[in-house]
Amino acid sequence: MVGFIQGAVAMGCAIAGIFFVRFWQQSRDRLFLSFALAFWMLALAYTVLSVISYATEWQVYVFALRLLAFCTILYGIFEKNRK
Amino acid sequence: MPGSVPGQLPPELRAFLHSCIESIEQVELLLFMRGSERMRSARDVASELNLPGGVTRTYLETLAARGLLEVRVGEETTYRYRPKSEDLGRYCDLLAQHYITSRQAVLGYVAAESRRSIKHFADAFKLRDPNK
Amino acid sequence: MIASAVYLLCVLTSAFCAVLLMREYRRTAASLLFWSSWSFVGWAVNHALVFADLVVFPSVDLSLVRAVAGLGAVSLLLYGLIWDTA
Repeated sequence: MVGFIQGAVAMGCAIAGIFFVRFWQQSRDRLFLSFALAFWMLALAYTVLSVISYATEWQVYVFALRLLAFCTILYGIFEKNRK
Repeated sequence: MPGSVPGQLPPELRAFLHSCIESIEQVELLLFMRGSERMRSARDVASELNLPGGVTRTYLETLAARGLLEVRVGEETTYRYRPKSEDLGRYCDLLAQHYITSRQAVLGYVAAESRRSIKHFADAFKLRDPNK
Repeated sequence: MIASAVYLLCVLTSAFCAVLLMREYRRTAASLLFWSSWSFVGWAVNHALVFADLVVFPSVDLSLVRAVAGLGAVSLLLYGLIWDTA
């Protein structure tokens, strides 16, 4: 059950990433590129969680992806305000 | 569908429109101001373009805040087209050019409802004044 | 230790994004901002539950609750993206 939900979240994050890429293409605002990359990293993290049965959120390769995702968002916000 | 119209406009023009322009009236106001070196008050611009005075003043202040207009505060606040950088001047020239050659594409891009939502989303992450 | 710090950062970043989006929603009433701000609230809850599962209630399995929170968060975002920008 949990694996199924994690797979659904992974798919949802991947689709959200595609929307953000489209917004970036329309507006050329790099903030959307940051969000797209972040959500694709979240999609990857959730894919790992659902596919690898012994994977949990407190293993390095899972939380490193989350850290990278949210650092990407923070970087995007920082870069937007730097301009 | 919004996806097809932006393809006709160059990326730098789309980026300029996304960051500096919110409505068709703002496009027309900017191009009107670009057409003359004269300092104009909000009242003058409103009557020339047949817009409400308050709305015109807001648009002029917004464009000035974005570095597109020069403001002179006196008895009456007046405005003149004076981009703060060469790049901004180039984008305005590009807008003027495409307004003539592909007006539908420009208006379609600016008017797209989805673009407004996207712009609001991006503006949410401006930590200072969202109007800048 | 590092994992808990990471998820704490994720909670704070998600909450930060939620606040910014809600602030702009109050100004513009754009519904995408409404749904996306609640989505980031959902992400904050999801990360808080991971932190709680790891640090606060290590003997309790919160994996289902965490997963549902994540699903809720992404669903809210997709709803806003699809209805407000298509």
